[in-house]
Amino acid sequence: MAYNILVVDDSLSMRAIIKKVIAMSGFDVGEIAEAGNGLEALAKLEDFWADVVLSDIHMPEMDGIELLKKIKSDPLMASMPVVMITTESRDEVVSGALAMGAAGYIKKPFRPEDIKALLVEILGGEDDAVGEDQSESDDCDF
Amino acid sequence: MLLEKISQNLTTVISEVLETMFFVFLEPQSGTLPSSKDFIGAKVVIKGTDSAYEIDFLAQSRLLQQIAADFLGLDQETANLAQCQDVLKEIGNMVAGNLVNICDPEACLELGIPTVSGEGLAAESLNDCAETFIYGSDEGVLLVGLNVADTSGK
Repeated sequence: MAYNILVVDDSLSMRAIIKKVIAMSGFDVGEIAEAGNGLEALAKLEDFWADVVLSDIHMPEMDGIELLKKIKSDPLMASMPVVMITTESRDEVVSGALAMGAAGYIKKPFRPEDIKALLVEILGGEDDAVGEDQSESDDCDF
Repeated sequence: MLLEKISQNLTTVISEVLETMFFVFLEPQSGTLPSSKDFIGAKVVIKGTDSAYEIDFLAQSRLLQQIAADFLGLDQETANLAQCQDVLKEIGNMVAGNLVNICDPEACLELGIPTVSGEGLAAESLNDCAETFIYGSDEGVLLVGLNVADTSGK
């Protein structure tokens, strides 16, 4: 099964790196879509089903927490896993996001293995990561 | 005082961010600021209830071009200004965000979105900062200036 992923970050560089890490993770990835903020993400999700959304928190126009709320309050998208990838690791912010339904939390700076581990957890385990040598993908750098 | 806490933790956080995410190793340096006008700048504002703290990042263009190229998998010469500025903003975002995590565990402060402050800048533009830090490698230096602005009554 090919997974569609939406990467939401106002930094083009971060989106590029996250896409690269996903591509190297060994998952059978369908389309990796991008958005620069929460509003762009919601517009994209009108005609794109994401098996997982990876979103920054601090973004202009609409931040990642507001995006998370919108997704979780929409019956059509509520089951969509949303992972926050952010510099924020203060307890109040992290526990708030998880209480709102975030599927996971990755703190920047991250290692490629952090993203892969969370994708494995959300998308169904190591068996779904195909076509890559395990040790090679674990050693990947940016 | 928050500025003191930020100052105490800055070098550790800079190292963690640059080494983990960008595979860059910069050494803290002392001495006078470089006189060249080849710096690219970005800044992040951290807002408290009655104060705002500004962290300025100035990177020499050659160093930043190398960091951006390595990060994005490009040849050094092909990392353009926009990519360099975007990478510097992201460095600022991660550094400021991690400083806030350490210095403000109760989440009283609001982390702003990083902005570009210019190109072709001189190091002297940090002269008004309360504290200035220098980190360097053979490719150039990264300067970090800390400042506090009273916003009471605004």
